[in-house]
Amino acid sequence: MSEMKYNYDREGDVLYISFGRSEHVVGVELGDHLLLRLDTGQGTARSPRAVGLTILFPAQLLALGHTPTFTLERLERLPADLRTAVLEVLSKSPVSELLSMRLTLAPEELRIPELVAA
Amino acid sequence: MSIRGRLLATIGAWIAFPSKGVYNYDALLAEGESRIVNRSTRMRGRPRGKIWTQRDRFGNDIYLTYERWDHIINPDNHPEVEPYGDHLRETIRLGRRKQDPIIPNAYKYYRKFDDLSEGMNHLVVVVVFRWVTDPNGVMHEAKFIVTAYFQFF
Repeated sequence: MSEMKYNYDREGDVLYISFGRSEHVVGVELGDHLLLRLDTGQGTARSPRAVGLTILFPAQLLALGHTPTFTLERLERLPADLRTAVLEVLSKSPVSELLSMRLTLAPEELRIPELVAA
Repeated sequence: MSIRGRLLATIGAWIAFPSKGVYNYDALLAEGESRIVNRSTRMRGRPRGKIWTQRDRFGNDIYLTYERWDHIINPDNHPEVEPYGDHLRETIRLGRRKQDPIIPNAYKYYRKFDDLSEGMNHLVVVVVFRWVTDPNGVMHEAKFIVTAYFQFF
C-alpha cells in the first residue's frame, strides 16, 4: 500500500488525499463536498482500490460547523459493477480509516389491515 | 415499490467523519499547509497569473491560474484531467451550473463529454466567486476555478 499523502490547496480550500497513483481512475461524488477516486481494477483484473479522496472547502465547512455527512443513496445511479467497487473501497482501509460508515435501519412501514365486511 | 427499492429506501448508510476526526482533520489541514510551503518553494520560477479567462452563459468571466492548474494536475491530485484543458473551457462556456448548498459563493459547472478517460461521462469544474482587494485598494470580484474532476452520472 502506498503512503497516504495530503495536499491542501489553501487558496482554493481544497484538500487532496492521495493513496497512490493509477492510470485507470474513476471519479464518484459521494457528497456535495467529497469526491472518491478509485481504480475499479477492471483494466488490470485486480480488486478495486482507492486512489484518492478530494474534499471541497474543508476549512469553510468546519468554520460553519458542518461535518460532511451524506447518504449513499446517490450511488444507486451508478452501474452495478461500479457501485459494488465503490462500496468495497469504502469499507476497507485506507478509506475506512478516514471516514466512518454506519448503518441505520428505518422502522418498517406499518401495514394497514384490509377492511373486511362485518 | 419493488423489494430492492424498499430495501434501499429503508436502509440508509451514512458516512461521517469520526467525532475525534475533527481534530485529525485539523492536523490534515496543517500538514497540507506545510506541504504548500514546500511546494511554493519548488514552484519558484514557474509562471504565475492567469492561463485563460472564459465567459460563462451568465456573463461571468471565470479564469484559471497557473497555481490552481498545478494543483489540479499534480500527479497525486487529479492528473487524469491534464489532457482535457480545452474541455475545461467548454464546461465553463456551455456547462450547466449548480450552486453549492452550503458555500453560497461556490458553483459547480457540469458538462457531458463522450471522450473522457475510463468511461467517465461528465467533467465537473468547481468555481469560487470572491471579493478581493487589489494592490491599489480597489475591490473587485474574482471568479476563478479551484479544481476539476471527472464524474460518472
